Amino acid sequence: MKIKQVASAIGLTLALSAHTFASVLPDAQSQSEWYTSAQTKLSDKVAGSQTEIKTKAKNVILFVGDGMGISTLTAARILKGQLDGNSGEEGYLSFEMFPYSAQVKTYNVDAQTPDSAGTMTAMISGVKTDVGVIGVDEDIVRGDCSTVAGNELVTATELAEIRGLATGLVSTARITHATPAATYAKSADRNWEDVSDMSETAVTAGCEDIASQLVNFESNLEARFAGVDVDGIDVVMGGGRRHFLPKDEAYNSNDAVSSVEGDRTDGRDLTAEWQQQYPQGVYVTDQTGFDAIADDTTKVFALFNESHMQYEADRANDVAGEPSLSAMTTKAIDVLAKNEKGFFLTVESGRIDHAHHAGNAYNALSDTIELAKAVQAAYDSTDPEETLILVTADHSHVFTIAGYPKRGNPILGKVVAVGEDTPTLANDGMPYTTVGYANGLGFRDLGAETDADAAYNEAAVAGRINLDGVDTQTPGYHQEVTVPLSSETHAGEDISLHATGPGAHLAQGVIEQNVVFHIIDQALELTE
Amino acid sequence: MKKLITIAVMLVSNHLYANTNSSCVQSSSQIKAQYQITESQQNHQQSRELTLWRNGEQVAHQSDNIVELWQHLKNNQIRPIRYFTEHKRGIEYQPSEVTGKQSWSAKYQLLDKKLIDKMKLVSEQGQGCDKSQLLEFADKNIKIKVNWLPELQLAQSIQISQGQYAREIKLLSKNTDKTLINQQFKQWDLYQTTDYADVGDNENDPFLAKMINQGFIEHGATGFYNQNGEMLQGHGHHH
Repeated sequence: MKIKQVASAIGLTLALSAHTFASVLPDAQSQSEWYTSAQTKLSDKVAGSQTEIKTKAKNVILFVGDGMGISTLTAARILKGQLDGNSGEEGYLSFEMFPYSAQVKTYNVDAQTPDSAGTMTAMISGVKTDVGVIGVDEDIVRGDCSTVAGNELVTATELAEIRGLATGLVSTARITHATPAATYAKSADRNWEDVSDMSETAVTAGCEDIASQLVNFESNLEARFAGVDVDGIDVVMGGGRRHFLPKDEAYNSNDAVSSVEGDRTDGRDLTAEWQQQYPQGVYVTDQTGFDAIADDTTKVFALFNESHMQYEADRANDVAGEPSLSAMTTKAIDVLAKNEKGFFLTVESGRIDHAHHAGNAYNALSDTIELAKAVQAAYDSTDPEETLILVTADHSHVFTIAGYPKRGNPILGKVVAVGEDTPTLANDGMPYTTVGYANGLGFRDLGAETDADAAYNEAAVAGRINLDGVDTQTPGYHQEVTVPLSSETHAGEDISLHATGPGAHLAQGVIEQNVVFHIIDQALELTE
Repeated sequence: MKKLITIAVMLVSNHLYANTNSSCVQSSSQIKAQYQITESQQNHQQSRELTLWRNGEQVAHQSDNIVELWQHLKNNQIRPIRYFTEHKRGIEYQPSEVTGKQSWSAKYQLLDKKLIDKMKLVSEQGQGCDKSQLLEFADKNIKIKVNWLPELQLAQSIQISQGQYAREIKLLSKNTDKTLINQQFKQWDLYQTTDYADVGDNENDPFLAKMINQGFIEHGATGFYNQNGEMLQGHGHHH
């Protein structure tokens, strides 16, 4: 009630101010579309602030764009607008229209520029930790199995399970990759995705690989909390099949791209183990299987690729076909929403990060646009009054939007200045692109190639290239860099958090990344 | 499922080897061929060795400490893996469509099939698997002479001259011992591999850190000639 009274008072003041000052403004100003649309926006915010703030949610969906820094959002927003036939700058990605947002500090306990393992652990457990470790606190020694015991953190996914909510996990990366793994695993090293990735010492000491922890999630959680009875993660969709299959050609799926698809050296077929635990569950590996998931399905385990799923722009080239992030998100919600207590779903767009590492803005932006579609699909599939949707990133990349291009200039194109029709030349007499990277592999002109990883066939090329005659807007164009590295790097700048639904109002100001967990916790009352 | 894969593999193979003797095709699909490559320009000359390995739908080019391996997928894509034998490590890439530089035949037989097709047949001798052909190609920029074993889809020698630059690729030996070839591919398969997409997230790994900071393409073994007689990544890179 107090919040409502204060909001009303503020709203009244703003309304009076607008009326008073509008009268002294010239018409050219007060009737400008810029002016009136901003007033409308402000009025909407005032009206929004006068409605009762709901703090408790039935469902929470956490979207994570891996490597989706602020510059990626801006460029993706412009690209989306331009693909729709507009100038681009004036539009919004779906989640940029959410009423609340915050600026998020991403550093890890031991690193100024973070990685996904440490950042996702912070978001999902409420505690910042070191780079490279999953679901454990900063007292861990990376790669030392003996330091795991006693340093495990409890995640929002686990707490939601304990509270009887349905839980889900969707990613376009391998489902054992750092970001999704942080929701369910405890590991001294993010790379312990299957037993063949671990040292013999670690295996002997009793550490369990990440894929095994996913399949054993239910029993592991019940073992750690005496008397707790959970039913396991209800929806798992992503890539990474190789970590669940034995290193034996006989286990190859119809989607295999390696001569031997599986990597496991312990002979275990974790997909079969999962099916044994959940005989009513559906295990799928391709688009056909995905499309055949029945309406009454309550457990899904989908591994669509041997490794990471395809870039959205490259999806048509998948061997057996795989669904988009938005299709997976919608399907996951359909399955999870059957639980009357509600659900907690984590959705990662994992390949924005990979495209940036490859120095390929086209794929990074295309996957960001697909993430925005997935968020919209989630918003449309749920009741906004009872579902908190959070959209954030784990870290940024050294991706910049530079120069002085005119309004509507193609975001992937060369800089053309205001009032000009030809590219602006730099001091070296050559044109330059608006978007670029501070480091990485540098220039490549791979034309129609939609697989960003194809860039790695050539050595790093730092510095300037004469771009005359080069179409920099093609999927296969890789931007110039300053510092030559074989892989473009993460950046240490802040990222954003966007929120809508019950509890969203807590996403405000500049916050530490681990606050994200506490916003989820508050909304779902996970620790109460 | 295995049956489906086998049929798909056969279709790809049949397409590639149409008009060839089937028993030769069988013996050439698993082969180890050692080549010596000599490059000369004015007074400078240098030689190195390259081994071409074929194992069904997998081809590898081994040179020094690098092995470039390609897997030909049933959807006609090519999946590259680069092994660093000294480190017993490998980097895996996403498959790319078979276009341009990704020509499967250029990897499988060092020369793009389209180039072979447009070369002039100068002479022919021998029979069956031993049949050899002398092929020539020339335009204003480049001259290529190939001693070709058509039934094995294998070059016995390749001579290229382009202005002051000359390159000779000579077959030193060939081996079709299936056990040896299977073992070699199995050994590479046991190396620890990393997706290239994951390299950027692993700067703490000394091997990968070296790649990130210094580059990793050292004396790339791959190369040779596309349909226009143009060299593909002919010279190695050192970083």
